[in-house]
Amino acid sequence: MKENSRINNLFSHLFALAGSLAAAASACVVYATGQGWEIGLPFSVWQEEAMFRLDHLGAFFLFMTGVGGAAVSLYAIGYCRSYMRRRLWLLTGLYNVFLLSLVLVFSAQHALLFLLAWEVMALSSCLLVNHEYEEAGVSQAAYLYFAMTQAGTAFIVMAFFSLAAASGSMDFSLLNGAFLTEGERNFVFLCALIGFGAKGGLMPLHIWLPRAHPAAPSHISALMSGVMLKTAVYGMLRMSLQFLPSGPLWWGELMVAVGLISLLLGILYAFLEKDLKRLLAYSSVENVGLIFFTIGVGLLFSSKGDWAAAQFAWTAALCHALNHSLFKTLAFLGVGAVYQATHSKDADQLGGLIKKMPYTAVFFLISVMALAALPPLNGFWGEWLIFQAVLQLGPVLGGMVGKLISALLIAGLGMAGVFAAACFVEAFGISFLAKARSKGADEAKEVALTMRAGQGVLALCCVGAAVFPQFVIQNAAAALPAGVLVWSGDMSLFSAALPNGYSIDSRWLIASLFAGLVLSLGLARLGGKEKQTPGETWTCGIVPDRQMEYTASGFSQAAKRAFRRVVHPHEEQLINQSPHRYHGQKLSYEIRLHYLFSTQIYEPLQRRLVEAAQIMKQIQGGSVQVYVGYIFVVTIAVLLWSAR
Amino acid sequence: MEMNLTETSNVIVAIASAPLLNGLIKAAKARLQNRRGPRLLQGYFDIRKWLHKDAVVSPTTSWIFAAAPYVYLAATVAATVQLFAMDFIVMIYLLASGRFFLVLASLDAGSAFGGMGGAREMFIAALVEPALLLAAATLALPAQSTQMALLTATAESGSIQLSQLLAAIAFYLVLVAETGRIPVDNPDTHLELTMIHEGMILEYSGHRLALIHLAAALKQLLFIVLFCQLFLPWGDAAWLAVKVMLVALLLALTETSTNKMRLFKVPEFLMLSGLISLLALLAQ
Repeated sequence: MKENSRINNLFSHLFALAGSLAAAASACVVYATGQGWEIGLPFSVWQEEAMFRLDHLGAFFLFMTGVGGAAVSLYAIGYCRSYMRRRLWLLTGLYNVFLLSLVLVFSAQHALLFLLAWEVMALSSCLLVNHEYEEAGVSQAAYLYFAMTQAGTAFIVMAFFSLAAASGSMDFSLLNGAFLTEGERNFVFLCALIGFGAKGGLMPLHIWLPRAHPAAPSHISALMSGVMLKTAVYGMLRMSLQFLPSGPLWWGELMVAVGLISLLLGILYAFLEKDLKRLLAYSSVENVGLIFFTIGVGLLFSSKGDWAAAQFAWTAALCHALNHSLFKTLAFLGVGAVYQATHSKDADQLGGLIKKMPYTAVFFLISVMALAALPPLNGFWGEWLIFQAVLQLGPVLGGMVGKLISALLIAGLGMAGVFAAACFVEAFGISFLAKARSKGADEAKEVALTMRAGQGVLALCCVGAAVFPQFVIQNAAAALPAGVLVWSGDMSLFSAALPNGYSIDSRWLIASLFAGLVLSLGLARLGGKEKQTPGETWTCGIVPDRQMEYTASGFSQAAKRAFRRVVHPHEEQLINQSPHRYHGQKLSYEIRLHYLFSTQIYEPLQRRLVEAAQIMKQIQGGSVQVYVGYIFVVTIAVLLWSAR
Repeated sequence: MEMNLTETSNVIVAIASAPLLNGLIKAAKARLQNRRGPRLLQGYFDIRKWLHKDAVVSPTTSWIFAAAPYVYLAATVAATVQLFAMDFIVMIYLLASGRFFLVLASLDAGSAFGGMGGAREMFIAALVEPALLLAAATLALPAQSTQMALLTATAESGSIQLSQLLAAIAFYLVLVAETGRIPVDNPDTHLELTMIHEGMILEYSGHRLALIHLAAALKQLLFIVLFCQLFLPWGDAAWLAVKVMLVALLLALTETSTNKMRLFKVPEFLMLSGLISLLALLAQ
């Protein structure tokens, strides 16, 4: 049985790898030839042939799926060894189904096929979240995810079927909001925003995300966060660009507001979190918020008729989506490697891993720098584009209000940027630097070769996208459906869309960094060779130990206090008096945060539901006679009603 | 986009004169406090001294600790290049990269001092950045760009207006916070209750300490030059030197006449800067 599972592990992931590479290749073919692919299915719906068709927008997202899927599959060969005796066959099978469903979501051009693929994706990922159901909290997380994703799907179904009923077709090329009245169009837009927002983890519909991501096996959470959340972005772009072009101003305003809330609160919660996977999950809430925010900025432009600026904003959103799929997948793979090596995801229990896992440390450092949008890494370029787009809002909205909104949004973006940097300094610094804080971290070893290779591929992609950001930007612009605006092929879009803009060039940035590095190396040489003597870390003359190190909880303490109005931290210090009078006291510290939407929306809702159920319980006495009585009363009532 | 000879020489002059500016502020501060103070060129002597000293390195540290000073200086130099030729946002984010590595290095030795300094640095940065961007937005919005040349051109085009004056005040408050001066941080002490920057670099010695001090001085000069270019935009290069000195004197005066404030008062201080920026936008 053991031998079989080894073969199963190897082959199922190699097939997934091959499939992912094929997906990425077919996306590249679409871009290289400028032509879509078409595959018809041998059945029809409403006398229409069911079609899988790959256009530029779909291919852009399919490319993400391919690259992310390939790296994750490679990584999974090593990672899934720890699942050898824990239903590996189920894990690998569902993994392949999940990957396939992602491919189908991006290539279906038919409402019914899209929804079928969407459901397969939701259910397979839900079962994958539930995979380790023996662990505490995993089933609840899977159940919450199931409930939220199904509620979201219900809204998406309403949106698509309203469109299909009006336009008389289910094919994406014929689906159009032009046949709807103003009110119906608003209804479809809101349904889409709720449905796709729930899938993307937009606040306040995000509550499943910080629970489901930590519960799933790490390579699954990488794929869920890196690629699956982008299906929401894809759906929203399809909906608002292709099916419902040129909506009223408030669509954009609503999306900007919702995106901004997710962006700011998401990163604040991430910063205050010390479970690494949950930290990354909240950071995904932030990033999806940022993408939706930018799509909203584009909608604001388009509702004012400024299509060039709208195109610019959507390009920025797509750029950030692609970059996020690269570095967030990488970050989850890194945390997965840490988890496998130390059996812990709690930053406060880690430390010192940079010496034990040197490769993983470098890859994780690359991912967190990109996540913090630091130049020269790829995360920065998307952020730069978003800044430029927001800067154009002032004159387009017009007047003093436009100016103030634009300035405040810029300040908000900047604040989120620094919080992201603080959050990822904490994530990397506390878990990889200084001394190990637990036995698990002390005994950690570097992970298997395939796991390192999977991370290495993505790290290379991040660096590549950082050195040549123009490839990402050009292809993102080309992904937007033709007819909205045509990308001219070179970098001249920016001079068209931004009145005073200029093209973006990473070479100068990298050259100046390199020059600075040469200068500092030269300067250090000036003083001659330096003798380095080892000496303990300075702690006022006493021998330093791991108790003195800063922890993640300590690192974010100041922010916790400054934002206490939002997070209402509830702190508890427990002092356990030990036999020693003067030293050796045990002090434990616990902190609970108040999650705004959970306490303001979900908990009251839950209470109401339970109350309603309590009232309903009154009629359920358990006695058969009473139930027969109910049936009798109802029958009489129905008879009277029909005889009326 | 291309860098020409003048811009390159500007960057070199900036790097070379950064320790002098620090000396100037120290000398002015000493005079204001009736002390004699260190020599004007003390910054250069200090750097030379550190370059010739041997280093003590904690065995707890990793390559991050070894590399961080180089990355910090390189990022600050790259930001200086942006200051003279390119983009404001890129400059801010380059400085953020340098800060990122310095804070990582502060955690690397595993002492509580480093962690405390690093945590406070990130906390203050998170509050400074929005205030800084708001102050810059008062110019970036009319310029419709974040390109340095266009920002300066916009600043030059208007005569002194109320809006620009307000924006200058807002930016000055940010400048004080960013350069780590009283009332936000105290550049001269190692007391754990007051220090931020000094706490982060407590473990450094030798070459690396020299690089960090040079980078910190360069960052300070960069913000002062930025202030002069954006809010006092008249005159040529010689005038720039005079303006930079005037701002340095103003900083010394501020340091002498105020007290270091509590860490949790800093948000209010920076909120004030943000509100003044908003007023500046309204006055446009």
